[in-house]
Amino acid sequence: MTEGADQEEAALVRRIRNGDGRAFSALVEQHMRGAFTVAFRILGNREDAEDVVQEAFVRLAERIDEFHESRAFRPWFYRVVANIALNARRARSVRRTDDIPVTTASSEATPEDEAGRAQIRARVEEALDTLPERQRTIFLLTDVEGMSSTEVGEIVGCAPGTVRWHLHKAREALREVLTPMYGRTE
Amino acid sequence: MTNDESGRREIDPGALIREALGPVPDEQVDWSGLHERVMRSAIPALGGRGVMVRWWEYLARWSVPAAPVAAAASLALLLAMPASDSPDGTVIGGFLNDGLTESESAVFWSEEDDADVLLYAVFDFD
Repeated sequence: MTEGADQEEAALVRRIRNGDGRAFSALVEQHMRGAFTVAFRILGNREDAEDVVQEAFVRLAERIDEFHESRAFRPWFYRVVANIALNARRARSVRRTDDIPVTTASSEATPEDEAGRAQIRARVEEALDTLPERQRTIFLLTDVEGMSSTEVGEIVGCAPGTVRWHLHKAREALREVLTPMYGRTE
Repeated sequence: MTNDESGRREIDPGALIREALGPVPDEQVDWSGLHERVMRSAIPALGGRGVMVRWWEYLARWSVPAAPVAAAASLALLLAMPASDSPDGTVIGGFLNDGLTESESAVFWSEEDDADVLLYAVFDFD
């Protein structure tokens, strides 16, 4: 995110504080997709992720005065999103994903292929669940979603170096769980 | 990719998990519907700041609670209106025109784009 974009967002926040509903609408438009990505990666369910996005924007509306304009808006807001998603996950009121997203399901795939993919997915999710919550979030946002360690650090609330350490630990733990299942013998 | 002690290829967890989980299903999201939902639920939280919204958003917010009230008011009006007094419904028109000059009345009943202007004037939108 560039400095110009940060300034633009700070200007939108100022307009919202002055009662401009269109500025809020613009901020929603700019950030709902990114917020959905963060929420979906933590929850693994589209409907739950949409609910989290909605709740995060309501919280933003309630706490718009808590945002300091010297900070970048995006990581600040994504941290709100991640916290809500993590709480939802802890509450276990969420529906776990059983469906494979349409984009990953090939039209030529046989029912056996689909069943195999669902099985792999279930095992992968089990392996991810063995990680501590923070490590799991860091791994999903960094290695799966491709965010930088700086950005993920701002979302989960730790230094980039700590993010890299957690990432290393997460990869190690996952390799240990997944290699016996998926590592081909030489 | 390296080998572990038993000669198995060590996997790249990132690549394996990316493939297993697939991309974020953003093409399945109704983004305009979600935007509308967000605005509908967040605007009341901003209400204390006198946030102005577009008139159709204002109407959308009030349409659900207003529907039963409007239905009850219509029913009450029908029951209260003696049939012999207004066989052609002119009483209603007269009631609504009360207190308006001829030109104001014309604007009020206009079906032109002035309706937007009027709503903005009434609700003080930006």
